[in-house]
Amino acid sequence: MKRLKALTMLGIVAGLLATTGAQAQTEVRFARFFGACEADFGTNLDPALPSNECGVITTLTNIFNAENPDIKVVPEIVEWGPYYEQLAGRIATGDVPDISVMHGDMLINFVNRGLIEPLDAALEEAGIDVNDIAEGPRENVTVDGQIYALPQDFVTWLWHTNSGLMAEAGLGEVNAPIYPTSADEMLAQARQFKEATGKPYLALTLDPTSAARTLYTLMLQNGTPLFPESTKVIDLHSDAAKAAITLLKDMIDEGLLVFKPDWATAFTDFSGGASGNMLGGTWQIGDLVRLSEQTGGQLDGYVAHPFPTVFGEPAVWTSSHSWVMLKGGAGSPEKRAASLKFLKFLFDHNIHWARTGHLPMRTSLMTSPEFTSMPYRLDFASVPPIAQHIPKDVLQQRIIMPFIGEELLAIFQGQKSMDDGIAAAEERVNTYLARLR
Amino acid sequence: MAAVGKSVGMPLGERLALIAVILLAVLWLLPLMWVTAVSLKNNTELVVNPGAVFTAPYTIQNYIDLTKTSALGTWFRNSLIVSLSHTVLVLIVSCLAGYGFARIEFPGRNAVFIFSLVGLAIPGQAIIVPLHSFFNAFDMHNTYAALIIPGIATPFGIFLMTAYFRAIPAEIEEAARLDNASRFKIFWTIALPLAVPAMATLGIFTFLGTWNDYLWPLISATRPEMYTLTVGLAATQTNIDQSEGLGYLMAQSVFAGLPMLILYIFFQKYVVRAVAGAAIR
Repeated sequence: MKRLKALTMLGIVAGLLATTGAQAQTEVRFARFFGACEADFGTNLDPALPSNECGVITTLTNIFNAENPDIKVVPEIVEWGPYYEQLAGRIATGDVPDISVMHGDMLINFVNRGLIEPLDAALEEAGIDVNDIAEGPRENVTVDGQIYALPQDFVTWLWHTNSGLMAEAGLGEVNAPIYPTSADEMLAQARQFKEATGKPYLALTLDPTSAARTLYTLMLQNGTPLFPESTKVIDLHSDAAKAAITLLKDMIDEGLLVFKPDWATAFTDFSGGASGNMLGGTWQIGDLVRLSEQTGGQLDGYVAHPFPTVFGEPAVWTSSHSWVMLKGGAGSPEKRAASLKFLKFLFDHNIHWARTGHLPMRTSLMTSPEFTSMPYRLDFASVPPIAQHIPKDVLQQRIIMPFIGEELLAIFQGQKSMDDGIAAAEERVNTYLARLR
Repeated sequence: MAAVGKSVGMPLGERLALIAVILLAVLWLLPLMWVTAVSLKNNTELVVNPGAVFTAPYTIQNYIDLTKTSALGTWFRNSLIVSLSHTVLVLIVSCLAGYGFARIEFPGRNAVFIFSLVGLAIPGQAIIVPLHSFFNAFDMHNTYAALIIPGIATPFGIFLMTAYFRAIPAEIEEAARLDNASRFKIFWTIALPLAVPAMATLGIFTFLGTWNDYLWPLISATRPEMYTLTVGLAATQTNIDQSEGLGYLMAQSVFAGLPMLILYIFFQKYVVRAVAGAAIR
């Protein structure tokens, strides 16, 4: 009987201890997009394994949870499209996540409404060296001298290249293609490529935002900003804008640049060797690397290269993913401490994020062998100094860029003259921005 | 084949109509067949050659991957609870209101009936902000109640059931009234059983609409454990450009659509009748 009592007491004590242990675990609610990939990486702890955003962030979260048994980071995943609508809904209901991912170009919309906590003190408390954050991303998240987010990367626009096809056309060697250094050279190389291979030199999707990012890049290279006077008014009547549009239109008319209806088709065709280059973003590198390894043959010598400088000044469109702490989230000291610990972990492991294709945001990593030896990337170290965000004060960038892109595509496809398309883009964007408070 | 066999001896016009119907059915089925076939293909193979969908080998790997999403069962259960509860409540409210408008005389009946039908002209999206604020005021988001309650007083349901009850001969109920049956007993034992076809129609449409709903669950159920299947599956998209993983995406679509297919198989008589407009006699 005594033995039974002792065992019962032992059981109760063990149960209480287990309960206490479970209660001691601080939960960090982590709102993000990037998708869910439990099937592939749900239990993975090897950061070298994944090569896309979903895989890397899932793995990093797994590692953090494994290393910190007293904290549990719980991903709350929403698809990209309605992410911000849901986030707004959550803020309205007071169901605020502790840490949220936010595109750099969305930040100002939340900062202006006073919805985000400034992080200067928090970053210092967490032991994050803000001086190690590259100037571009750091400046982009700084408003009125206060840092509102921890940037995670440089997201830039670039060229995906099938260097095997380029070599076939006499444009460099496999894994070492040559790129144009002027608009005339670009046209000449594109013609040479088409003549040698019978294929288009460049492919772009009919995604309006892609067209707008391309124009933005070319205008910057031509020394003219999209917002020359005010962050409320775009100007596409400049010579720089017209030269960029003319270059692209000429290439389209000669069949040197072709459009693909969507990214799935673009990926399929590019993987199948349908064009020499494809305009795209850093987030696609990981997937294309995997495809080039898995498909074999037709995507011969895949490389990613910064957007070539064809108008004089090196420059390229960029944006950043960043982590924010919304007001109302991480309410208790325990949650705040746990959240900051997770931010520090992401900062410390920033190099792994570069496996996705994005550039790390830490200056100290730019020249590290870990980054410079990553395969398939050519000359990426040149990107940070030339990467230019859309001015951070421009509101609703995700709405106005498609406006510009839609009118550009109308010009490229012959539905509108250049003058009409430019006027329409300016009218739509400027009218919209003027209405915003 | 049976249809073709029966068509022998049919007038030419009817035969042509039959052929046209078969062609339309095939046309309608093609996307479903394509979705199913793609869901059974290796994702990399699809990127390399989209035409591979027409040839073996096929695999169920995408479905196996789907089951590895740990919250899938929770989302499925949430969808089932929400859809079934919402459907039952819509049927209760619509039947009671419909019977009231059809059979009970009360002051202002027509005005109230017309007022309730005004809702037919207001799209759901137009009231999403006040609806969200309303549930927020009662701190009800991320609950089943918030997912179930909106829309239970559906103008379409009230209209449908009112019209159906009005079409039932009043003499049937008068006989019961002579036997001193109460109003509710008449409703429960006589009117309601006669209204089963209309209820089935309304129930099927309501269940389908609730199961497929995306916007309201997206903004009301913000915690993953409260996601419905539509929101949850959308969150598992692994690539912003949807540039690959098409097989997995299609497996998700097939999985999400299966309950609808099963529902249709069991209730196709009512679905067909509803679409044909035969529910209202």
